[in-house]
Amino acid sequence: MKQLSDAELVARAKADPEAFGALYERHVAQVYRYLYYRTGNVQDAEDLTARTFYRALQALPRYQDRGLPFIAWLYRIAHNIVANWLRDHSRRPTVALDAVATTAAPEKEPHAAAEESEEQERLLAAVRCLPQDRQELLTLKFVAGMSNAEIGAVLGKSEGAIKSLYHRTLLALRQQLIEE
Amino acid sequence: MRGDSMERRSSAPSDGGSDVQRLVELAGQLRRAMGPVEPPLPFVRGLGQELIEAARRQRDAVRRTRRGLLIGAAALGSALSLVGLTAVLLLLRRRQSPPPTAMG
Repeated sequence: MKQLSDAELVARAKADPEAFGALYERHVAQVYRYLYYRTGNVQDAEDLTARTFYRALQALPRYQDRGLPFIAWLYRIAHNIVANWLRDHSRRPTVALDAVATTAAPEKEPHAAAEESEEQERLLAAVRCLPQDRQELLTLKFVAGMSNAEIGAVLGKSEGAIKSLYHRTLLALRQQLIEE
Repeated sequence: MRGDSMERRSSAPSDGGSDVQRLVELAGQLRRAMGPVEPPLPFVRGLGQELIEAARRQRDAVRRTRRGLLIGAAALGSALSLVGLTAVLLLLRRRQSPPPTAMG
């Protein structure tokens, strides 16, 4: 099962639960990461990850390959779920992204590592102050590692619009950091 | 999956070269800050099992629905055939029976 491509697994998964399990195992970490950075805490990231895969399971019989990677379809579902979640709860991530500190390079001097961690916290706090669409764009680009075209497909915008939004987002973020 | 025009532009000389360079640095900082975060293993395993169970239930429900539809269609087809056959027989009987004669 592990040697099969996503397209082959999707075709099988419509009738074979184990194939859906293989698709889940392949993509759960990416979806979780995206939702973790969108929600800002582990509990909500877990909850929304579960919702994303349950919805994907329900929608799988209607899935059509449109030339985009399967993960882009999952991100689109996750994007809709997190957008509803943010709207329903009228909240932004407020809890510190505590796991981020653990991603700092461990081989650095403690002082340097602490400084870098502080710098990253400051940067992430600035990101969380951005409008939702800009946070979404940065998450898809840096967490999911997607290209502008793929982000456009997830957000329903053109590649050019994403490119422009990315540029403006970086400028706004830099301005915000300068003003702090 | 990666293709940052911003990062590619860093090598292109331009009037705002240092400006672009600062944005490239910011992009690099973002990439480092938004590092990989792994989901907890018990959560991954638990959800995986739940999903496979749900997929089984969904598959069984689809099969039951299909079987129900098939049986329904077969029953409907049989009933229509019976009605058609009865209609043909009645028609034949009516044609074979002599027309009623006028009395008085």
